Amino acid sequence: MCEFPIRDTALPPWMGGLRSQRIFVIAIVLTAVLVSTARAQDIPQIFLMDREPAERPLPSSYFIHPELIPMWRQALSQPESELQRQAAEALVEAHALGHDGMRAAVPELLAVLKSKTVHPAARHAAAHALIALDVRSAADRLFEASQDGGKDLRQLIEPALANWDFELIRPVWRQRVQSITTPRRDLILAIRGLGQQRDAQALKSLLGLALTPENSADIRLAAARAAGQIAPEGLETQAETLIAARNCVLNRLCAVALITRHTSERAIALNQSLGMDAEPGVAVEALRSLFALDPRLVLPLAEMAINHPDAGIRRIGIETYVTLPTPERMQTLSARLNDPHPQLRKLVRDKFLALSQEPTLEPTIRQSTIAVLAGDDWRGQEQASLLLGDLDEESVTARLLELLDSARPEVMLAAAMGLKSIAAPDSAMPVLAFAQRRTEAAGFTPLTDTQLAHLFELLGLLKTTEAMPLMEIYIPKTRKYRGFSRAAAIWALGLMQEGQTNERLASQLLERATDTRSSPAEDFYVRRASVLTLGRLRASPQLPGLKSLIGDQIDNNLMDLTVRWSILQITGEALPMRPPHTMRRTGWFLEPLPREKQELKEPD
Amino acid sequence: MLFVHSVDLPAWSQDQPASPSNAIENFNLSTGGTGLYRPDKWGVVKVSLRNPQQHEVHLLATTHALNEPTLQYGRRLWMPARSQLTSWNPMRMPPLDHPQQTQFDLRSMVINRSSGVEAMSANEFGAMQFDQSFRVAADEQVTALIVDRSNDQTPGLLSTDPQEFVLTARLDRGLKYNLTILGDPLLPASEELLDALDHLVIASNRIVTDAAGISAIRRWVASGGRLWIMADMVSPTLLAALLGDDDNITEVNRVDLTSTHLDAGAWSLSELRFTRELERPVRFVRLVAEDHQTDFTSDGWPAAFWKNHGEGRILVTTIGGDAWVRPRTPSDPPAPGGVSMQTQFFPSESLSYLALQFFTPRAAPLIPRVQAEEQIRQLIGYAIPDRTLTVGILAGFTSLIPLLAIWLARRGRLEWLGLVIPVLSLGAAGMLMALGWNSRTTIPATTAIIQHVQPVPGTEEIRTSGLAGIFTNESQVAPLSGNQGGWMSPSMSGFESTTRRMAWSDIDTWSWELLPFTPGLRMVSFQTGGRVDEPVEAVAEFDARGVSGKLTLPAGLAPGDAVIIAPRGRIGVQLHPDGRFTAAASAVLGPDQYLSANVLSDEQQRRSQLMSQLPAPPLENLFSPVLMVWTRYWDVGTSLGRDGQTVGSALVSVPIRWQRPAAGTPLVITGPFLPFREVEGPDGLPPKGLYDRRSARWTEKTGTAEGWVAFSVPADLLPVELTSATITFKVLGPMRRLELSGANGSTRQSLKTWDSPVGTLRAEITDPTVLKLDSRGRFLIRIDVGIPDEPDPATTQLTTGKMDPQSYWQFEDVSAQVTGQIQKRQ
Repeated sequence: MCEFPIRDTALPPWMGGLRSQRIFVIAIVLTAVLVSTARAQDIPQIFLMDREPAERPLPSSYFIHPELIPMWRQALSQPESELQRQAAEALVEAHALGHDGMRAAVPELLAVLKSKTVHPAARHAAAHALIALDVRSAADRLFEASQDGGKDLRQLIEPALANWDFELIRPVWRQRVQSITTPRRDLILAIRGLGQQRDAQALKSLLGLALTPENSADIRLAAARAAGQIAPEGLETQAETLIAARNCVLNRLCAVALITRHTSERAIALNQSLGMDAEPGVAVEALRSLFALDPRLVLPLAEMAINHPDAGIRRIGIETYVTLPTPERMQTLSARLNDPHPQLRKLVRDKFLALSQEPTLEPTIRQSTIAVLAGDDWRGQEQASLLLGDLDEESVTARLLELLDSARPEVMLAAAMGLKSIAAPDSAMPVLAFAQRRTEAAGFTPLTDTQLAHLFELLGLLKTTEAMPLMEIYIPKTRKYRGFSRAAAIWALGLMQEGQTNERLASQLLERATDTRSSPAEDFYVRRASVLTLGRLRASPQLPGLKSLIGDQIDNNLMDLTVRWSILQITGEALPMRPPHTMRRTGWFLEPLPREKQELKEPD
Repeated sequence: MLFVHSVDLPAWSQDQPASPSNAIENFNLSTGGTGLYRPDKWGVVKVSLRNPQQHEVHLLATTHALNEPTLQYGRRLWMPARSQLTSWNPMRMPPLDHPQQTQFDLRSMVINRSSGVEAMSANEFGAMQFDQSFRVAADEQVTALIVDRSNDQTPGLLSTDPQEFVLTARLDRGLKYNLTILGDPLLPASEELLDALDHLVIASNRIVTDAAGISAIRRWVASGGRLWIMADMVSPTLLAALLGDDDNITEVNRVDLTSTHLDAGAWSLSELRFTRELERPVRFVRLVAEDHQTDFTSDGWPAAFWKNHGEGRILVTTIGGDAWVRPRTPSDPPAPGGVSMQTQFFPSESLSYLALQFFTPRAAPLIPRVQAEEQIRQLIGYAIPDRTLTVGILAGFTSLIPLLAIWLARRGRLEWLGLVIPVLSLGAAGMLMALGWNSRTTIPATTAIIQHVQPVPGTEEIRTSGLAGIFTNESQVAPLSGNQGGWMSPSMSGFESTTRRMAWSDIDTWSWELLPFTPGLRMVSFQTGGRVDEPVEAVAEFDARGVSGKLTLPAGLAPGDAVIIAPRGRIGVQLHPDGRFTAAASAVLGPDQYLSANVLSDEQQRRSQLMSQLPAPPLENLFSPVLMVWTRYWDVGTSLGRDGQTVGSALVSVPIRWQRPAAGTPLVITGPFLPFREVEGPDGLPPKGLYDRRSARWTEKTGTAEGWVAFSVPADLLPVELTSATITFKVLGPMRRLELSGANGSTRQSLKTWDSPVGTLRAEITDPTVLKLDSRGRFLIRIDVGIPDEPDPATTQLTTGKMDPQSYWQFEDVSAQVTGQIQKRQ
């Protein structure tokens, strides 16, 4: 039985003393690793060998000790505020981790909240727990506490009451926005709450706050946003007046906020005008409003937006075009496969893939993407390689082969993945030649390792038996060749030799699969690929060796499942599996001691 | 260091006999909070232990340093039956035995109080004492980070993570060690957690609901700490929680940038620019902020700005780390600590500029101990002699001598005067001694307190620190306790062999135990928190007479003797009964003047003396005047004495919150509110070292010298149109000639010239063209000293080997006073 610490990401205290002396070393090492591999990992590397076997480990489940919540309730009932605070926050954390039963502590939490003698920190924690547990029946008590418990408590509780649409607080908020002596934080809370609850009665006061130039910027903007949330119409004049009175960014931001829900022609025209604002912070808000109303309203500005220096504005332009696609728009959008922002170019790629199902769009998408692939921009080459791979565009095989030698790691890998996706038979020999060159070259970097892994998988899919001698070079554990490429080579050998007896190969692979005790031990990927291939080879003589990797039952982990699959291929026998792990969460500030080993099992 | 995880008892032990009723298991003392410990500084230690009993227990876990075995710090703990608990308590680390000491050796014990009798607890192996060692932090500034506990940043953003980024900035300042992470999921609710820190960086939202932790951070900043908030990594909610009502920052939106441009802001003292093209976007938060000083902008939005918060400073950066650094190349110079002390990133000059300002040591406590002690002694000792009686005795003695002389002369026994005078002298002295002895033995128990009160801006919280003197006539157990956090540290002389203990029973609740007080005076330094019903604040604005405003204090404190400490001096303040205050432009205090009264009472003299020893305001607080007002002492939930009278004063530092007068309001801004520095002039003349800003002194010179000086109008007032300026020079030494000029566009316009200037000189400027403020709200003057082409005595010295000592000159002071009118804001 396992006990799983809930705070396993914190360094243990014994390391704290050396932290500051080591941190720069760690930073240097981490940075070196990140710089060399980070770009490769911007696009997830998907290996076919990772998909086998189809059966995946089931996630572990966690439980908490049955006496944990009663113990925390006891702590909440103690007079010590620190215990109350810790217990309340522990309830929040346990709830966030998905455990049930925290609501049993609600009576104690309410008692702490109500008490005037406990430390404010304990009341705050109790309120936090009630909110996190979504105890809406406690809204009245929370409201009372917020009004007499100080600013920190109001800061926590009032937004929750706004979310819960608690109406009794509205008069308090209305009073605050009308009074000139309201402290700032209380005023902001009131403004936001009224806006969230769309309290029409407060609109006039909110407009007064928003339109008074002497008010501070944060108050004005908050009030304008709240007014905009409340009023679906009728504020066009105020917005226009703001812009005309003093053309400053704040006024324009307030103007956009006021008409955010407006659908009138006048408001739309104003938003479209602001959508072209020189200040991106203003333009993006206006465009968002328009898009939310109707993407067609953005169309007149979409081409400008797509080419805007601001990524937020470009996103809206892209979203508009993919929502209202036409072949012409797809042609325009293809330029965004080169977008400087990785998320935007991925967005375009994903949308192109989805939209390519449309017969009217597919040809344009293909052709424009092919044109991008042929271009010089590495970003476009990267996205186009992946997209055309997914589209099975065989005509670009030659170009992808060229790009295998790109100076950019992203393109190197994307081209390999693209070739693999397409799996054109006539790419086999050029790929083999490339792999041969890479194998013989000096310097074998992590990037080379990943690229060759994709290419070996391709050769395996194409059953390019001419590649077998090359792949067999990768079987032994050496200092030069790394885990991914070795694993992929072994896996590919399995595809090529499936169902055939090859005792020499099987012996080698069993050695790799069972190499767990040498230093360094064999790479996990290589071991797993070896097990898979032994299954494909139906390697009966190696069966005892395979069985030595598992116990009397198959554990719920990837290696055991792989061995199980392999044995199934060889003998037809499906070995029994142990149920998934259940683990008790520990590491709480206060928790029960286990009485007996039976207690560590999951309760029925 | 040994850290033992709690482990389950093996199955075989389930059959063992029941543990003794005072047994505990798996006691562990570990580092808490920052994990860094400095001598004579507070820190937090974590205790965890198991109760194997079938019933609840009440324990006291104590820890002491092995080199101070009788001084314990403890925590009262309640544990339910069969449970394990982790808790914490503050502990003050002892001074080092020797400079090379690398560890604090600590010992802990657990005392079981469940049965009403204290009994030492033993673990399952019979051990009653548990030893642990904590590393002594390097003798260098300490920076702590609050970062996310997991590395689940948005993929593709931030190749520089916050730790690496801060490390790059620190290493650029030559700070090699003492960077630590605040890793506890819930911060200990105690400001002592932060006592060892000089700086805190927040790059995570995870404390947003930790009200007690946030409160501790606020108090720590208000007392002089430096806080850096990476706004791109925290939510606006956390900013609001940290700043309270002082929070006038609002988020507009967030965007990811692949191209960044950092420009110098309005208040930056640099002209630095830094651009980057990034393959991985960096997060940028567009914020609208007021009452701040922007050092850098990005596309017109603040990228790095400062806010004053009490006596501390907060730096807010709104753009991610990648915009401030670039990958290090082999041609880059190494960091000051050498190639082994640098990261893979090279800081931009912009980041270096910020780091220079941010990574400074935390200021020492304001109240100087020596002066406070003296004041306390006087407060207590003042009650001893009855001045009238003493004067009467001396007057009687003095007047009796001539009378006796006359009487003896008439009797022809004048020679007896030689005997009478000594007898009378002995008698008078004897009477005074008897008076003193009598007074001493009849002095009531008295506690005298000198406090420094610092309100935490935007909240109802306060922080007090200072010194108390407890005078007692009889031995007693010291009744020192508090329930508002903080600590008290009595002087321990004479008690080194007596076990005494400071124990916490709850958040902010502690007491001293076993601490004896012998008759006499004992000093107790302290620091506590507190809350008041209404935030303490001073809101003021400039007007035609000077400054006027409103001071909000709790009732019954009898405020008086108020002064505004401004960037360039002090101004006397008049307090009115309704809470208003005024500081006339004519009430500027001289360099040796600390209160505005002409004739000082004894108490005022003491106050003045103490204020004369206060450290000068740090340069960074140039734009944050403070109203300092004396009141009676504040009752903040601490117990200092069992009985007797309590006397004392509190010096309250209230940062002034400025309100901008309405457009059209005339105003006068007097010298202390106009900081200045030497700058490059509009004619291209660079600074020549005429004024040393770091030491705030004019340089001693010979021969000729010239330079432009920029006076900065308070930012809160801008825009302002100046109508006149009066420049005052105080001259020392022979200048031969002094010329004052102004800036008329890019040219220099001579305004006034003095030949052979001596003493104090004034010039009034009324020409609006030279009074125009630049884009940073400054008006410039040029100072030319000496006669051009006249031989420089320094040059003469080089050739003749002789220097005329009379040829040095210097400005003792240069100040300005301006009048103007508030303009409408665009």
